[in-house]
Amino acid sequence: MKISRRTFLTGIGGVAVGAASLKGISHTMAQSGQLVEDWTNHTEDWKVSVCPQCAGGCGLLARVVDGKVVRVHGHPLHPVNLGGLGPKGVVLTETLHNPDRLTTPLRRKGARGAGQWEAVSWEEALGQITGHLAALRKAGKAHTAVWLEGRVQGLQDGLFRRFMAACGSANTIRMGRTPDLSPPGQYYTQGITQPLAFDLARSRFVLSFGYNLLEGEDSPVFQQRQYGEMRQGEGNSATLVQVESRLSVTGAKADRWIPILPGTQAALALGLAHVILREGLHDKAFVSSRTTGFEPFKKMVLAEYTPQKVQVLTGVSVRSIEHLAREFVGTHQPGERPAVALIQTGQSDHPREVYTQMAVHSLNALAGSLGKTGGGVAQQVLPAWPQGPGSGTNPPVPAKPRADQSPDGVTLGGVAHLGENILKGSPYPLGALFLYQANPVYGLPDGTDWKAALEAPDKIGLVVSFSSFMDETSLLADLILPDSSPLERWQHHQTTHLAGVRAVSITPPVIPPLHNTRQTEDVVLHLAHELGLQGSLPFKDYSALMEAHARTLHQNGGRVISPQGGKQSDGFSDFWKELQTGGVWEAKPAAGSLFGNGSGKFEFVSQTLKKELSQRGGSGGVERAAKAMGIQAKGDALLMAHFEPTVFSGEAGDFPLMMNPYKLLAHSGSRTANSPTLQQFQAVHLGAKWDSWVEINPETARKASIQDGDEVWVVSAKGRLRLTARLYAGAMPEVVNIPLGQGHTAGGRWAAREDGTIRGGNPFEIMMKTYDPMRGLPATGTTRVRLEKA
Amino acid sequence: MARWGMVIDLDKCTACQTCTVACMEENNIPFVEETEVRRDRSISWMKVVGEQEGEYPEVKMKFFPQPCMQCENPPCTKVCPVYATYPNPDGIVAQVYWRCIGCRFCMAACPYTVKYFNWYQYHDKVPPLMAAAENPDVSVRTKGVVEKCTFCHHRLMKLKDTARLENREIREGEYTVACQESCPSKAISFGDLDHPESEVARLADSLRAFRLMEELGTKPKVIYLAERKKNG
Repeated sequence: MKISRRTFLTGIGGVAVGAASLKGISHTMAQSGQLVEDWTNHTEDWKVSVCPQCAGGCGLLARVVDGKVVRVHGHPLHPVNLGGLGPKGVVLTETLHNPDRLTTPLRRKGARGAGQWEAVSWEEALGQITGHLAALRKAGKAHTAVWLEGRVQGLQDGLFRRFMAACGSANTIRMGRTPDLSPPGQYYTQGITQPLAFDLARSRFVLSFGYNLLEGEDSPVFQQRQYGEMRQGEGNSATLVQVESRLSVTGAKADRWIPILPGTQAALALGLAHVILREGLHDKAFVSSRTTGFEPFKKMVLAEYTPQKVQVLTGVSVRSIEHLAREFVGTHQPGERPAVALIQTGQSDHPREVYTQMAVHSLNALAGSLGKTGGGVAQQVLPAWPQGPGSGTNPPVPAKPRADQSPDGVTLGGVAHLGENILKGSPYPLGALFLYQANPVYGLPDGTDWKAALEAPDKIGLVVSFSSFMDETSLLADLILPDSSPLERWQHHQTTHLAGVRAVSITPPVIPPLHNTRQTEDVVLHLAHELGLQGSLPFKDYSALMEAHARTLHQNGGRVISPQGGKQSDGFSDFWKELQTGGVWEAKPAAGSLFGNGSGKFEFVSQTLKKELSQRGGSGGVERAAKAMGIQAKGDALLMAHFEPTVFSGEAGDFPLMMNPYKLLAHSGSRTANSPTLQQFQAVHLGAKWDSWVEINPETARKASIQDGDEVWVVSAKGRLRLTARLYAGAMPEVVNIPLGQGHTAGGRWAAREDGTIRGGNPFEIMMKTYDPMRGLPATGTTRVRLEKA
Repeated sequence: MARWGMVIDLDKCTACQTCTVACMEENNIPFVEETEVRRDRSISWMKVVGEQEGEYPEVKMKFFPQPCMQCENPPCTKVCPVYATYPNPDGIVAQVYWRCIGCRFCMAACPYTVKYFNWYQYHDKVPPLMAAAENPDVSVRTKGVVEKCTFCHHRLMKLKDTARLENREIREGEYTVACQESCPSKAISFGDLDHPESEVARLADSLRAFRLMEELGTKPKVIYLAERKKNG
């Protein structure tokens, strides 16, 4: 595929004629002249864009015929995807033309949630928000405004954060983890905030603790390409071992699947460490020169995590643990490729998962895999905001209590607390709530709190949603300012996961908006100007911000990737032009730093964590913080990777099974629910289409007299869901698995059924409200359930 | 004369279904709604089939992407009473929708079950805005006809015209198909099986290569590469 094609349909009218005449029906002679005209005067264009459907940032090439986007293809030269795509990216054209998109700003009539709306002009809607924010600022209540964001990428988060801070609010809150920041295991041991990149195509052994290589994490498309290389690359055949409670596609494609009881991954990782240390198999050179705290760690691991003990905790056999440890660590022969241990980075499955992440990551230190090709590679840090004059001053984050603070003030605040806080009016009633691609009523375990808080007349001053669809939360908003579709927007993305390569994509809109929608970033910059915040945000719109960032990148050197092989443009105007047609820029290769902490070493006893805990604990110090966070370990152990038992919600007698909610690749939740194409191809492993089910181990099902296809109730202490029972040999006997993404009551004709019945169930509805006190995120894997025949 | 064929490496396939979805977008395949899908009436020229083997915890899963096998000796064309499905001069098993009388003999004759019937005028269900942005190179189908993978034949037609205008042959690697192009793990290769330098020819010679139900004598031009033995 060439990167651009001239308009060529005119030259080969025959093809177009064939197509168009079959599509049409019979026509009169008088129409024929016009039809011939239509058939022969076509324009075709190929335009770059970036896929925003997950964190991956695949480059896109959109084919535009006569001004209509007819297909999106993968950008063949983009370093993330090299022409490949995921199913969610391919359906972007469908999303663009979706009949349920919100096409104009809407204002609520009647009570919140009454479902009555009137169309308003952008001027009127923006005027209302400006007035409201100005009044809040004047009354000294600007700090009570909240910006809640779902998926954001590139400069979006920086922009929204700056805007809120300039307004006077510290409340820019994310629905989930921040993919451009390093996961906790890396942060607490190495002190780095830039995530490590793993070059799996050059690894010898990949030990994955539920790391969703093929269906999730940072970039499924890039990871799938790596997987292809691992399997059939030149002279390579890495071993992949998947440790997880549910056999995922990654588990199925791995060399080995090791089922493990939920919440016990830390114990297994440390059991492996035990065998490695007991047999002296660790990389002694790396450990002695690049780590600290090794002796206390070794002492603890040897004393506490014998394979026999770990077998009881995890369900993994002693033999398996010993074998795996030896395989993982290898022989340390010169030229031997490294082994890496990876862990899922999405949500917190369990409270205090930080320690699990540290435990798994410590295996990388023991194997000496950090800073090596094929292991975990540090990446250079790129300027995440335009630099130099004209880029505005970074406003200080106001020192006010945050809307998402934890009730005790010691454990970490975050989105897990926000709903309850708003409902209680604590620490203050919200002056305004902005929802950017966020649907908390559907997508959080405390969705009912959110619903109650939004419905109450006095909890939130003004609710503004920037959703493209009328989802469950937007239904309860005061104003809806529809965001443009990804193909109608300026897009920005920075890669974090390509080993040795840092790339930035900046792409203009493929087509102008089809409806009366606007890009939210433009709306925010407009509001900033109206409120007189130009000092922090001097850009007139997002394209100006893009151009300013491109100017900063240009000064770095690097090159725009283009079909001509990429060149280093001298002048900025050439560079800018080239970037807008090529779509992606690659930084000059430069090494990143492996350590960002004071010691400059891998800390088995984390000083970063110590500092953080003592800060949180205030006068009570680390001990107070540990107590509030429910950490059971004492002394040095609470700064080291260790196993913290998970407390599940619900009595094992009443609720014998553990519920594991999980994400499918094609149909993952809120943003894809209204795609009929993705609904039709939900999952291969069960041949599921337009469905909502619970996966049950066949033996467990037999004991409960449940057969494949039966309707069952999944009951937790909080509520129950009616789902189709699917017998799945990849389910552990103790665990039932439920995919996320169905059970919508709103969001469009395919997300919710048109007849008002609901397709299946949303596991968040029966999930207990537990959270990770060390991350402020909901802990989604702690609910116990039982099955009842419906 | 090129012999167009496809090689699918099952070791690399990750069952992501991007091929299925890209094929639908490329070939204007309508989505089929919930109630009709329950009657097993969904249409996907390229489908990924999953198969479970064994019992917990020794369970294995296999995934097969399945397009039309583009047989050199196709059973389906032989039973068509109206010459609607026929091996076309490019060696592709073609389907002329306007000849098809909907008897479905070809569907019954196909041992791979990769031909699909239009039980309804599915396109009437596609909202106008979506319908207006369909691929202009591919016709949409009416109720009562059979359809199937065409190896994105419209792309070959275009390429032939381009090559003719430029007075040259089609270059190796120039003819691509939607599923292969979009595959993230690069599991699908496409090209001329007779071209000495083509990737498909090289892969088709691999020791891992096999064809589905070869024993029937259908001579499929879609070739699979077996998964290698795992390091269990």
